Amino acid sequence: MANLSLKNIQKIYPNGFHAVHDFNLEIEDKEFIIFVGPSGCAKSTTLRMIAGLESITDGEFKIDGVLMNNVEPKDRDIAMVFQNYALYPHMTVYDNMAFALKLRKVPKDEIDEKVREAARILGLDKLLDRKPSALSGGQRQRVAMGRAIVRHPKVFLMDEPLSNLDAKLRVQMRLEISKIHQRLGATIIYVTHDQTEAMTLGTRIVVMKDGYIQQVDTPSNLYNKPCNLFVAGFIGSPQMNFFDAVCKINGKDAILQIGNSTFPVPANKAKALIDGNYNGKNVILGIRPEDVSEATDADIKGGQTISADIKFRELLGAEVYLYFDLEGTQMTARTSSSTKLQIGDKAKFALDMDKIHIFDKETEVTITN
Amino acid sequence: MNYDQELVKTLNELKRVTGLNFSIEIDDEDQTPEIIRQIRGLSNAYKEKNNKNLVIKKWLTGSISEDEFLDLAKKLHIPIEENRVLYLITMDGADNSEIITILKNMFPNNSNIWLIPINATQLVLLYSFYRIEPNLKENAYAILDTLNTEALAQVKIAYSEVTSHLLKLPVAYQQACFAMEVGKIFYCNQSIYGHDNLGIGRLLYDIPDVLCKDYIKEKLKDPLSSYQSTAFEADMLHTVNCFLDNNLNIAETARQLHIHRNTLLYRMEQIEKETSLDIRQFHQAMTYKISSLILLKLAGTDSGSSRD
Repeated sequence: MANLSLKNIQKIYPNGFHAVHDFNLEIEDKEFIIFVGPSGCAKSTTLRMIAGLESITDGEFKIDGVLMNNVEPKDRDIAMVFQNYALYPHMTVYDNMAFALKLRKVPKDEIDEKVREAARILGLDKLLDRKPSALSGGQRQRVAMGRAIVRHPKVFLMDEPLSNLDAKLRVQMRLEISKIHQRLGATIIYVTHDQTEAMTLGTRIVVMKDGYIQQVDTPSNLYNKPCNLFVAGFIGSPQMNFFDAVCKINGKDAILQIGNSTFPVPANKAKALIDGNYNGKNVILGIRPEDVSEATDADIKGGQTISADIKFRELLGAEVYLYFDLEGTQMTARTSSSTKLQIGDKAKFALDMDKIHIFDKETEVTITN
Repeated sequence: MNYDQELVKTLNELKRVTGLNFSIEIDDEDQTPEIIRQIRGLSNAYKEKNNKNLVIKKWLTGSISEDEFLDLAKKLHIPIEENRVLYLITMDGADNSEIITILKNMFPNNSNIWLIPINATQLVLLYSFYRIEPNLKENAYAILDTLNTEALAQVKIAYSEVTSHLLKLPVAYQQACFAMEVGKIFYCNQSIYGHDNLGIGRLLYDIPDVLCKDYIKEKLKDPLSSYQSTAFEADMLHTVNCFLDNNLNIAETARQLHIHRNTLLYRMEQIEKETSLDIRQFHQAMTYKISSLILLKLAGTDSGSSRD
């Protein structure tokens, strides 16, 4: 398949809209790369530049070492699956998948071979004679992907291909796309605003905001070692809990003070605060909901607990989300469904301080990773 | 060469397009090739005159009178009263015939759409509907995504408002053309422009260039150089737009632009030096914003049609 290289890519429109800023990324062959970010972060614009549907204002984009900046989309050896896909309603699944090849006057035998191969990969072998109206939403989506697969491209570009499907189908199709990636061994770039889709599909994820790359990393690293406040808040559901805190350093020890509560910082994280000269400075403490738990007797004896009144409770089957306030800021704890805590109960919670994240209040960059 | 077979074939074609029977007596066989050529010309002329797409194209572009158009519309069974929306599609470097083939297959019910090539890069898609008004923007996105994926073509789409009478089609065409022109100048970061959603671009586009130039002369320190001024370069425009989006908050703007606060202040000083506008003041920031849009308009109309 293909290696892609994007160096210092910029997109500036004549009306002054600076969509993409200094985008740098190396994509290895067979990678499944996800562009994720909130609406307007330029993830689709970047994808469209890779496709050749938008010009590149500055920078270099190469596929397998060949400069692509001025190469026409049809000569880039790419195939796309977009959000608003439209199947040809009067054609069978076979004809829908063969259509683009027929337009390019590919010999019939070759078309037949490619369509049947794509149908086999997608599990559409038995549906080739059906028309789109006789297909389910997921099957239609697979046909849309089949139209891309038959082109045998170097790179697949997918722009929110699942966003028109209902929640249940999306989960099914996520799995399907993952399987297809394994079977094809293709390089795929996939745009989504859905962080669950990003985490479950990608080998690497590019988190974007306001046209800037925030972090490029594996799903696990993004979750456990976010590089800044935005990534920490964007990845993970329920969102990470954040609190304004003041850092106090005493020798080799550091504590974080949130209102009247104080929390000792583990030695490895304290070192970063000491080295960064954070004594007396404002920082942001972040902790994921699963790292907040009902306090055990040992926690209570250790004294590192917080007392709170449960304000809301959400049962999600296997787990329960408990909502309460810490010094005026809402906090979420993810606990087992066996918890007896109910709305209005007073409870003590413990924070797993080894799992906390500390961010510079001004730059919002992680201090302690 | 045996011309008899060719003559029969040509006559059959004339019968097919006109629905009339013809017979021909030829005295001098040497004249047969010329007669065949003339019959073919007649068939083509008849086809052209009665080509629905061509008739509608002539009506859209004003090269046919209303009476003639209505006569032809009746003759060709083109419904007079029907809800229609006109999509104007511009294509960059794409094969026109490929685009038409894709669109024909996207809307296989031929009675619903008309595909009218205007020139090598522009195509009109006239979409008819009966009771339920379609989501015009969603349709436009479906067309865009399909052409992007199937033809790998760079496409921009403008659409008119809904019109219910055949005679109003030129108005719809003008609306779509207007939306395309305004969109390309003011909203060039988008690919779809609806005539009902043109914002301030609609107002600015219609201001004559003379008045625009007068405004620039009045508001900017050095209007002659403002056209090339660095104060209106893309980076500066982006900075000011971001500053306005953040309610003139310097810290938040610097954070969002990933630049140091001092860099932002330096850019503002540069703008003030070149334009005398202190964009930290709301009114002056607005003057800058309006000036930038007017300069964009002047640049756009310089490269296209002038509206002096």
